Amino acid sequence: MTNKPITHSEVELLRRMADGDDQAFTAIYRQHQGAIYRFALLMSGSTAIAEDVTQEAFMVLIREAQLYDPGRGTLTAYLYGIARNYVLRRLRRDSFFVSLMREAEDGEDVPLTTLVAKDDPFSNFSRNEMTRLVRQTVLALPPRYREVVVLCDFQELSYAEAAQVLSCAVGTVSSRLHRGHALLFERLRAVSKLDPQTPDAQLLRCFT
Amino acid sequence: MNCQDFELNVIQLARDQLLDAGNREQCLAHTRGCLRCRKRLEEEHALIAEAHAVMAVLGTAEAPAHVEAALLVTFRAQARQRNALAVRSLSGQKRIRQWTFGAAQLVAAVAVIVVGLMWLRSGPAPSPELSTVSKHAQEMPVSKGGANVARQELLLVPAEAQQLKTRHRGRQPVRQKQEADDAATQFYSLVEAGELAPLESGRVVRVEVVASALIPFGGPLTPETLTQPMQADLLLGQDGLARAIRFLPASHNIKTQ
Repeated sequence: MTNKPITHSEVELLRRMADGDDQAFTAIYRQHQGAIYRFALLMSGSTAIAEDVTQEAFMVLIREAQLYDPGRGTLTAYLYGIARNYVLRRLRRDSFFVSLMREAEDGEDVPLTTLVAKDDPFSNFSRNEMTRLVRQTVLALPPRYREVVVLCDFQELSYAEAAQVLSCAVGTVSSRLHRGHALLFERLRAVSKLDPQTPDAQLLRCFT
Repeated sequence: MNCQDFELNVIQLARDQLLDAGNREQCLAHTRGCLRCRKRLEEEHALIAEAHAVMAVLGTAEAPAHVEAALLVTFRAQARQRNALAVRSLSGQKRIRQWTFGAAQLVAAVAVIVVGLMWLRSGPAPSPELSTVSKHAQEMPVSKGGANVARQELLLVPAEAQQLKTRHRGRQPVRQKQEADDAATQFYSLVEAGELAPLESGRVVRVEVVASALIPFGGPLTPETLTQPMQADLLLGQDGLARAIRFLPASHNIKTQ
Protein backbone atom coordinates (compact mmCIF):
# COMPACT_ATOMS: atom_id res chain seq x y z
CA MET A 1 0.00 0.00 0.00
CA THR A 2 1.27 3.45 -0.82
CA ASN A 3 1.12 6.01 1.91
CA LYS A 4 3.22 8.82 0.56
CA PRO A 5 3.23 12.21 2.23
CA ILE A 6 0.93 14.71 0.63
CA THR A 7 2.48 16.28 -2.44
CA HIS A 8 2.05 19.67 -4.01
CA SER A 9 0.20 18.06 -6.86
CA GLU A 10 -2.22 16.53 -4.37
CA VAL A 11 -2.78 19.92 -2.77
CA GLU A 12 -3.35 21.35 -6.23
CA LEU A 13 -5.80 18.54 -7.01
CA LEU A 14 -7.67 19.22 -3.79
CA ARG A 15 -7.83 22.93 -4.58
CA ARG A 16 -9.15 22.22 -8.06
CA MET A 17 -11.60 19.75 -6.61
CA ALA A 18 -12.89 22.40 -4.22
CA ASP A 19 -13.39 24.64 -7.27
CA GLY A 20 -15.61 22.00 -8.82
CA ASP A 21 -13.12 20.37 -11.19
CA ASP A 22 -14.44 16.83 -11.62
CA GLN A 23 -11.24 15.67 -13.31
CA ALA A 24 -9.32 16.57 -10.16
CA PHE A 25 -11.81 14.61 -8.09
CA THR A 26 -11.50 11.62 -10.40
CA ALA A 27 -7.71 11.74 -10.08
CA ILE A 28 -7.90 11.79 -6.30
CA TYR A 29 -10.48 9.03 -6.27
CA ARG A 30 -8.48 6.73 -8.53
CA GLN A 31 -5.36 7.36 -6.51
CA HIS A 32 -6.91 6.37 -3.17
CA GLN A 33 -9.97 4.26 -3.74
CA GLY A 34 -8.10 0.95 -4.00
CA ALA A 35 -6.47 1.28 -0.60
CA ILE A 36 -9.71 2.37 1.05
CA TYR A 37 -11.69 -0.41 -0.61
CA ARG A 38 -9.18 -3.09 0.41
CA PHE A 39 -9.04 -1.77 3.95
CA ALA A 40 -12.83 -1.93 4.22
CA LEU A 41 -12.84 -5.37 2.64
CA LEU A 42 -10.27 -6.71 5.08
CA MET A 43 -12.08 -5.15 8.00
CA SER A 44 -15.53 -6.39 7.06
CA GLY A 45 -14.99 -9.38 4.78
CA SER A 46 -17.85 -8.06 2.68
CA THR A 47 -17.61 -6.52 -0.77
CA ALA A 48 -20.96 -4.80 -0.27
CA ILE A 49 -19.75 -3.10 2.89
CA ALA A 50 -16.43 -2.27 1.24
CA GLU A 51 -18.26 -0.58 -1.65
CA ASP A 52 -20.51 1.36 0.69
CA VAL A 53 -17.64 2.42 2.88
CA THR A 54 -15.54 3.54 -0.11
CA GLN A 55 -18.45 5.53 -1.42
CA GLU A 56 -19.16 7.10 1.96
CA ALA A 57 -15.53 8.04 2.53
CA PHE A 58 -15.37 9.93 -0.76
CA MET A 59 -18.80 11.42 -0.19
CA VAL A 60 -17.43 12.99 2.97
CA LEU A 61 -14.49 14.31 0.96
CA ILE A 62 -16.91 15.83 -1.58
CA ARG A 63 -19.18 17.37 1.03
CA GLU A 64 -16.59 18.52 3.53
CA ALA A 65 -13.28 18.77 1.73
CA GLN A 66 -12.48 21.84 3.78
CA LEU A 67 -12.31 19.70 6.92
CA TYR A 68 -9.18 18.00 5.67
CA ASP A 69 -6.08 19.73 7.03
CA PRO A 70 -2.85 18.73 5.23
CA GLY A 71 -0.90 19.84 8.30
CA ARG A 72 -2.44 17.08 10.39
CA GLY A 73 -1.66 14.15 8.14
CA THR A 74 -1.84 12.65 4.71
CA LEU A 75 -4.99 12.49 2.66
CA THR A 76 -4.72 8.71 2.73
CA ALA A 77 -4.72 8.71 6.53
CA TYR A 78 -7.69 11.07 6.51
CA LEU A 79 -9.62 8.78 4.19
CA TYR A 80 -8.63 5.71 6.20
CA GLY A 81 -9.95 7.41 9.30
CA ILE A 82 -13.31 8.09 7.67
CA ALA A 83 -13.45 4.57 6.26
CA ARG A 84 -12.61 3.06 9.63
CA ASN A 85 -15.44 4.94 11.33
CA TYR A 86 -17.92 3.80 8.69
CA VAL A 87 -16.76 0.21 8.83
CA LEU A 88 -17.12 0.06 12.59
CA ARG A 89 -20.54 1.66 12.36
CA ARG A 90 -21.65 -0.83 9.73
CA LEU A 91 -20.28 -3.77 11.67
CA ARG A 92 -22.15 -2.65 14.75
CA ARG A 93 -25.33 -2.14 12.77
CA ASP A 94 -25.31 -5.21 10.60
CA SER A 95 -25.25 -8.67 11.98
CA PHE A 96 -22.88 -10.17 9.51
CA PHE A 97 -20.98 -12.07 12.08
CA VAL A 98 -22.26 -14.64 14.53
CA SER A 99 -19.85 -14.97 17.37
CA LEU A 100 -19.44 -17.59 20.02
CA MET A 101 -18.27 -15.63 22.97
CA ARG A 102 -15.91 -16.57 25.68
CA GLU A 103 -14.41 -14.64 28.48
CA ALA A 104 -11.05 -13.35 27.46
CA GLU A 105 -8.08 -13.19 29.72
CA ASP A 106 -8.43 -9.47 30.22
CA GLY A 107 -12.10 -9.79 31.02
CA GLU A 108 -13.54 -8.61 27.74
CA ASP A 109 -15.71 -10.67 25.44
CA VAL A 110 -13.73 -12.03 22.54
CA PRO A 111 -15.23 -14.23 19.84
CA LEU A 112 -13.61 -17.64 19.69
CA THR A 113 -14.68 -18.58 16.23
CA THR A 114 -16.78 -16.52 13.90
CA LEU A 115 -18.58 -16.91 10.68
CA VAL A 116 -17.33 -14.85 7.79
CA ALA A 117 -19.46 -12.63 5.64
CA LYS A 118 -21.71 -14.39 3.20
CA ASP A 119 -20.20 -12.83 0.12
CA ASP A 120 -16.73 -14.18 0.73
CA PRO A 121 -14.36 -12.60 -1.82
CA PHE A 122 -11.43 -14.79 -0.92
CA SER A 123 -13.21 -17.97 -1.69
CA ASN A 124 -13.01 -16.95 -5.33
CA PHE A 125 -9.53 -15.56 -5.25
CA SER A 126 -7.42 -17.92 -3.21
CA ARG A 127 -6.71 -21.60 -3.19
CA ASN A 128 -4.26 -21.29 -0.43
CA GLU A 129 -5.83 -22.72 2.71
CA MET A 130 -3.45 -21.03 5.05
CA THR A 131 -4.11 -17.65 3.49
CA ARG A 132 -7.82 -18.18 3.84
CA LEU A 133 -7.42 -19.26 7.43
CA VAL A 134 -5.39 -16.20 8.27
CA ARG A 135 -7.95 -13.97 6.66
CA GLN A 136 -10.81 -15.63 8.52
CA THR A 137 -8.98 -15.42 11.79
CA VAL A 138 -8.27 -11.75 11.25
CA LEU A 139 -11.96 -11.19 10.64
CA ALA A 140 -12.66 -12.89 13.94
CA LEU A 141 -10.48 -10.47 15.89
CA PRO A 142 -12.16 -7.79 17.95
CA PRO A 143 -12.26 -4.59 15.87
CA ARG A 144 -9.73 -2.72 17.98
CA TYR A 145 -7.08 -5.38 17.20
CA ARG A 146 -8.33 -6.13 13.74
CA GLU A 147 -7.90 -2.56 12.53
CA VAL A 148 -4.31 -2.44 13.75
CA VAL A 149 -3.45 -5.78 12.16
CA VAL A 150 -5.07 -4.77 8.88
CA LEU A 151 -3.35 -1.39 8.78
CA CYS A 152 0.11 -2.54 9.88
CA ASP A 153 0.38 -6.09 8.54
CA PHE A 154 -1.79 -5.96 5.44
CA GLN A 155 -1.71 -2.32 4.39
CA GLU A 156 1.87 -1.99 5.63
CA LEU A 157 1.47 1.32 7.37
CA SER A 158 4.11 2.29 9.89
CA TYR A 159 3.15 2.53 13.55
CA ALA A 160 3.11 6.30 13.28
CA GLU A 161 0.82 6.28 10.26
CA ALA A 162 -1.51 3.80 11.89
CA ALA A 163 -1.58 5.96 15.00
CA GLN A 164 -2.59 8.89 12.81
CA VAL A 165 -5.45 6.93 11.28
CA LEU A 166 -6.67 5.61 14.61
CA SER A 167 -6.11 8.86 16.47
CA CYS A 168 -4.12 7.20 19.18
CA ALA A 169 -0.55 6.99 20.45
CA VAL A 170 2.16 4.99 18.68
CA GLY A 171 2.61 2.96 21.84
CA THR A 172 -1.06 2.03 21.71
CA VAL A 173 -0.64 0.77 18.15
CA SER A 174 2.36 -1.28 19.17
CA SER A 175 0.64 -2.89 22.15
CA ARG A 176 -2.55 -3.58 20.20
CA LEU A 177 -0.53 -5.17 17.42
CA HIS A 178 1.21 -7.43 19.91
CA ARG A 179 -2.09 -8.39 21.44
CA GLY A 180 -3.64 -8.88 18.00
CA HIS A 181 -0.85 -11.19 16.91
CA ALA A 182 -1.09 -13.14 20.13
CA LEU A 183 -4.82 -13.64 19.56
CA LEU A 184 -4.20 -14.65 15.95
CA PHE A 185 -1.69 -17.30 16.87
CA GLU A 186 -3.85 -18.55 19.69
CA ARG A 187 -6.87 -18.93 17.41
CA LEU A 188 -4.92 -20.40 14.56
CA ARG A 189 -3.68 -23.08 16.90
CA ALA A 190 -7.13 -23.59 18.40
CA VAL A 191 -8.85 -23.81 15.01
CA SER A 192 -6.36 -26.37 13.75
CA LYS A 193 -7.34 -28.65 16.67
CA LEU A 194 -11.12 -28.36 16.14
CA ASP A 195 -13.16 -31.45 15.63
CA PRO A 196 -14.12 -31.62 11.96
CA GLN A 197 -17.67 -32.72 12.91
CA THR A 198 -18.50 -29.64 14.93
CA PRO A 199 -20.57 -26.93 13.28
CA ASP A 200 -17.79 -24.42 13.78
CA ALA A 201 -15.34 -26.61 12.02
CA GLN A 202 -17.73 -27.01 9.09
CA LEU A 203 -17.75 -23.28 8.67
CA LEU A 204 -13.97 -23.24 8.66
CA ARG A 205 -13.96 -25.64 5.74
CA CYS A 206 -10.33 -25.12 4.88
CA PHE A 207 -9.30 -27.10 7.95
CA THR A 208 -11.42 -30.13 7.33
CA MET B 1 18.94 -9.68 25.83
CA ASN B 2 16.38 -11.90 27.49
CA CYS B 3 13.16 -13.38 26.03
CA GLN B 4 11.03 -10.54 27.39
CA ASP B 5 13.13 -7.91 25.62
CA PHE B 6 13.05 -10.01 22.49
CA GLU B 7 9.26 -10.18 22.63
CA LEU B 8 9.11 -6.40 22.63
CA ASN B 9 11.01 -6.27 19.36
CA VAL B 10 9.94 -9.40 17.56
CA ILE B 11 7.18 -7.89 15.43
CA GLN B 12 9.28 -5.01 14.20
CA LEU B 13 12.13 -7.43 13.60
CA ALA B 14 9.87 -9.62 11.51
CA ARG B 15 8.56 -6.58 9.65
CA ASP B 16 12.14 -5.49 9.06
CA GLN B 17 11.35 -2.17 10.71
CA LEU B 18 13.74 -2.38 13.63
CA LEU B 19 15.70 0.77 13.05
CA ASP B 20 18.32 0.35 15.74
CA ALA B 21 21.06 -1.85 14.22
CA GLY B 22 22.53 -2.77 17.59
CA ASN B 23 19.17 -3.85 18.91
CA ARG B 24 18.56 -5.87 15.78
CA GLU B 25 21.88 -7.68 16.17
CA GLN B 26 21.09 -8.48 19.79
CA CYS B 27 17.69 -9.88 18.82
CA LEU B 28 19.18 -12.08 16.10
CA ALA B 29 21.90 -13.27 18.48
CA HIS B 30 19.22 -14.13 21.00
CA THR B 31 17.34 -16.27 18.49
CA ARG B 32 20.50 -18.25 17.84
CA GLY B 33 20.61 -19.30 21.46
CA CYS B 34 16.87 -19.49 22.29
CA LEU B 35 14.78 -22.06 20.47
CA ARG B 36 11.49 -20.65 21.73
CA CYS B 37 12.24 -17.14 20.49
CA ARG B 38 13.53 -18.50 17.18
CA LYS B 39 10.18 -20.23 16.67
CA ARG B 40 8.41 -17.08 17.71
CA LEU B 41 10.25 -15.09 15.05
CA GLU B 42 9.47 -17.76 12.47
CA GLU B 43 5.78 -17.52 13.37
CA GLU B 44 5.84 -13.78 12.91
CA HIS B 45 7.60 -14.15 9.57
CA ALA B 46 4.98 -16.68 8.50
CA LEU B 47 2.13 -14.41 9.53
CA ILE B 48 3.55 -11.45 7.68
CA ALA B 49 4.18 -13.63 4.65
CA GLU B 50 0.56 -14.71 4.77
CA ALA B 51 -0.54 -11.12 5.04
CA HIS B 52 1.50 -10.33 1.95
CA ALA B 53 -0.06 -13.29 0.21
CA VAL B 54 -3.51 -11.99 1.06
CA MET B 55 -2.59 -8.59 -0.27
CA ALA B 56 -1.17 -10.16 -3.40
CA VAL B 57 -4.56 -11.71 -4.02
CA LEU B 58 -6.29 -8.49 -3.15
CA GLY B 59 -3.82 -6.34 -5.04
CA THR B 60 -6.18 -5.66 -7.89
CA ALA B 61 -9.32 -5.44 -5.79
CA GLU B 62 -10.91 -2.07 -6.30
CA ALA B 63 -14.26 -0.48 -5.87
CA PRO B 64 -16.47 -1.25 -8.86
CA ALA B 65 -16.96 1.35 -11.57
CA HIS B 66 -20.50 2.17 -10.52
CA VAL B 67 -19.15 3.61 -7.25
CA GLU B 68 -16.99 6.06 -9.17
CA ALA B 69 -19.88 6.93 -11.46
CA ALA B 70 -22.22 7.56 -8.53
CA LEU B 71 -19.62 9.69 -6.81
CA LEU B 72 -19.01 11.72 -9.97
CA VAL B 73 -22.72 12.42 -10.31
CA THR B 74 -22.83 13.55 -6.71
CA PHE B 75 -19.70 15.64 -7.12
CA ARG B 76 -21.08 17.43 -10.18
CA ALA B 77 -24.40 18.09 -8.49
CA GLN B 78 -22.60 19.41 -5.46
CA ALA B 79 -20.41 21.67 -7.61
CA ARG B 80 -23.44 23.02 -9.45
CA GLN B 81 -25.23 23.69 -6.18
CA ARG B 82 -22.16 25.40 -4.76
CA ASN B 83 -21.83 27.61 -7.85
CA ALA B 84 -25.50 28.51 -7.72
CA LEU B 85 -25.15 29.42 -4.06
CA ALA B 86 -22.08 31.52 -4.81
CA VAL B 87 -23.89 33.39 -7.60
CA ARG B 88 -26.92 33.93 -5.38
CA SER B 89 -24.72 35.14 -2.59
CA LEU B 90 -22.91 37.57 -4.91
CA SER B 91 -26.15 38.99 -6.29
CA GLY B 92 -27.49 39.26 -2.75
CA GLN B 93 -24.43 41.21 -1.67
CA LYS B 94 -24.76 43.50 -4.68
CA ARG B 95 -28.40 44.15 -3.85
CA ILE B 96 -27.53 44.90 -0.24
CA ARG B 97 -24.85 47.36 -1.36
CA GLN B 98 -27.33 49.11 -3.64
CA TRP B 99 -29.91 49.33 -0.88
CA THR B 100 -27.35 50.69 1.55
CA PHE B 101 -26.20 53.34 -0.91
CA GLY B 102 -29.79 54.39 -1.64
CA ALA B 103 -30.65 54.57 2.05
CA ALA B 104 -27.57 56.70 2.73
CA GLN B 105 -28.58 59.09 -0.05
CA LEU B 106 -32.08 59.33 1.34
CA VAL B 107 -30.84 60.03 4.85
CA ALA B 108 -28.48 62.71 3.56
CA ALA B 109 -31.28 64.38 1.61
CA VAL B 110 -33.61 64.37 4.63
CA ALA B 111 -30.85 65.79 6.80
CA VAL B 112 -30.23 68.63 4.33
CA ILE B 113 -33.94 69.44 4.19
CA VAL B 114 -34.30 69.45 7.98
CA VAL B 115 -31.27 71.71 8.45
CA GLY B 116 -32.58 74.08 5.79
CA LEU B 117 -35.99 74.27 7.43
CA MET B 118 -34.46 74.89 10.82
CA TRP B 119 -32.34 77.68 9.36
CA LEU B 120 -35.33 79.35 7.75
CA ARG B 121 -37.53 79.05 10.81
CA SER B 122 -34.97 80.36 13.25
CA GLY B 123 -36.41 83.59 14.68
CA PRO B 124 -35.26 86.40 17.06
CA ALA B 125 -33.60 85.68 20.37
CA PRO B 126 -35.83 83.98 22.91
CA SER B 127 -37.63 86.13 25.47
CA PRO B 128 -36.06 84.67 28.63
CA GLU B 129 -32.75 86.10 27.55
CA LEU B 130 -34.32 89.54 27.07
CA SER B 131 -36.01 89.59 30.43
CA THR B 132 -32.82 88.50 32.14
CA VAL B 133 -30.77 91.17 30.53
CA SER B 134 -33.47 93.75 31.13
CA LYS B 135 -32.75 93.66 34.83
CA HIS B 136 -29.08 94.33 34.18
CA ALA B 137 -30.02 97.14 31.93
CA GLN B 138 -32.09 98.71 34.68
CA GLU B 139 -29.24 98.47 37.14
CA MET B 140 -26.37 99.44 34.95
CA PRO B 141 -26.84 103.19 35.03
CA VAL B 142 -26.87 103.04 38.81
CA SER B 143 -23.82 100.88 39.26
CA LYS B 144 -21.67 102.35 36.52
CA GLY B 145 -23.50 105.44 35.93
CA GLY B 146 -23.95 108.89 37.13
CA ALA B 147 -22.84 111.99 35.36
CA ASN B 148 -19.20 110.98 35.75
CA VAL B 149 -19.39 108.15 33.34
CA ALA B 150 -17.25 108.88 30.39
CA ARG B 151 -19.18 109.00 27.22
CA GLN B 152 -17.05 107.19 24.86
CA GLU B 153 -17.58 105.55 21.61
CA LEU B 154 -17.44 101.83 21.94
CA LEU B 155 -13.99 100.68 20.92
CA LEU B 156 -14.91 98.00 18.55
CA VAL B 157 -12.63 96.93 15.80
CA PRO B 158 -14.36 96.45 12.47
CA ALA B 159 -13.78 92.72 12.49
CA GLU B 160 -15.45 92.36 15.85
CA ALA B 161 -18.38 94.43 14.73
CA GLN B 162 -18.66 92.34 11.62
CA GLN B 163 -18.53 89.18 13.73
CA LEU B 164 -21.33 90.47 15.88
CA LYS B 165 -23.39 91.26 12.87
CA THR B 166 -22.73 87.85 11.44
CA ARG B 167 -23.62 86.04 14.63
CA HIS B 168 -26.97 87.73 14.87
CA ARG B 169 -27.92 87.70 11.27
CA GLY B 170 -29.93 84.57 11.68
CA ARG B 171 -31.70 85.66 14.83
CA GLN B 172 -33.36 88.84 13.59
CA PRO B 173 -35.04 89.85 10.43
CA VAL B 174 -32.45 91.68 8.37
CA ARG B 175 -34.66 94.57 7.38
CA GLN B 176 -35.84 95.33 10.92
CA LYS B 177 -32.28 95.24 12.19
CA GLN B 178 -31.11 97.62 9.49
CA GLU B 179 -33.85 100.15 10.34
CA ALA B 180 -33.10 99.88 14.03
CA ASP B 181 -29.42 100.48 13.42
CA ASP B 182 -30.15 103.61 11.39
CA ALA B 183 -32.44 105.19 13.97
CA ALA B 184 -30.50 104.24 17.07
CA THR B 185 -28.20 106.48 19.08
CA GLN B 186 -24.51 105.84 19.25
CA PHE B 187 -23.18 103.21 21.69
CA TYR B 188 -22.41 104.58 25.14
CA SER B 189 -19.74 102.86 27.12
CA LEU B 190 -20.77 101.50 30.50
CA VAL B 191 -17.22 101.10 31.82
CA GLU B 192 -14.28 103.40 32.36
CA ALA B 193 -11.67 103.63 29.63
CA GLY B 194 -9.03 101.90 31.75
CA GLU B 195 -11.35 99.11 32.60
CA LEU B 196 -11.88 98.13 29.02
CA ALA B 197 -10.59 94.65 28.50
CA PRO B 198 -9.97 93.53 24.95
CA LEU B 199 -13.26 92.50 23.48
CA GLU B 200 -12.78 89.07 21.91
CA SER B 201 -16.39 88.37 21.33
CA GLY B 202 -19.72 89.69 22.36
CA ARG B 203 -23.34 89.87 21.56
CA VAL B 204 -25.97 92.52 21.26
CA VAL B 205 -29.16 91.98 23.18
CA ARG B 206 -32.24 94.11 22.71
CA VAL B 207 -33.81 95.08 26.01
CA GLU B 208 -36.55 97.37 27.24
CA VAL B 209 -35.60 100.05 29.71
CA VAL B 210 -37.24 103.11 31.21
CA ALA B 211 -36.47 106.28 29.29
CA SER B 212 -34.99 107.86 32.42
CA ALA B 213 -32.01 105.55 31.91
CA LEU B 214 -30.92 108.06 29.26
CA ILE B 215 -30.28 110.75 31.87
CA PRO B 216 -26.66 109.74 32.70
CA PHE B 217 -25.83 109.84 29.03
CA GLY B 218 -27.47 113.19 28.41
CA GLY B 219 -30.04 111.82 26.07
CA PRO B 220 -32.90 113.89 24.75
CA LEU B 221 -35.74 113.56 27.27
CA THR B 222 -38.93 115.41 28.00
CA PRO B 223 -41.04 115.13 31.15
CA GLU B 224 -43.63 113.26 29.12
CA THR B 225 -41.24 110.62 27.95
CA LEU B 226 -39.35 110.23 31.21
CA THR B 227 -41.31 107.28 32.48
CA GLN B 228 -42.03 105.69 29.16
CA PRO B 229 -40.36 102.44 28.23
CA MET B 230 -37.96 102.42 25.38
CA GLN B 231 -35.84 99.92 23.67
CA ALA B 232 -32.08 99.70 23.88
CA ASP B 233 -29.33 97.48 22.52
CA LEU B 234 -27.02 96.15 25.18
CA LEU B 235 -23.56 94.93 24.18
CA LEU B 236 -22.44 92.05 26.34
CA GLY B 237 -18.82 90.96 26.34
CA GLN B 238 -17.50 87.40 26.36
CA ASP B 239 -17.49 87.53 30.16
CA GLY B 240 -21.21 88.32 30.24
CA LEU B 241 -20.71 91.91 31.53
CA ALA B 242 -22.43 94.80 29.81
CA ARG B 243 -19.93 96.92 27.88
CA ALA B 244 -22.05 99.46 26.12
CA ILE B 245 -25.61 100.49 25.43
CA ARG B 246 -27.43 102.40 22.76
CA PHE B 247 -31.00 103.62 22.72
CA LEU B 248 -33.58 103.32 20.06
CA PRO B 249 -36.15 106.02 19.55
CA ALA B 250 -39.39 105.56 21.48
CA SER B 251 -41.31 105.49 18.21
CA HIS B 252 -39.30 102.49 17.11
CA ASN B 253 -41.20 99.61 18.43
CA ILE B 254 -39.79 96.34 17.49
CA LYS B 255 -41.76 93.36 18.38
CA THR B 256 -39.41 91.09 20.14
CA GLN B 257 -41.58 88.10 20.64
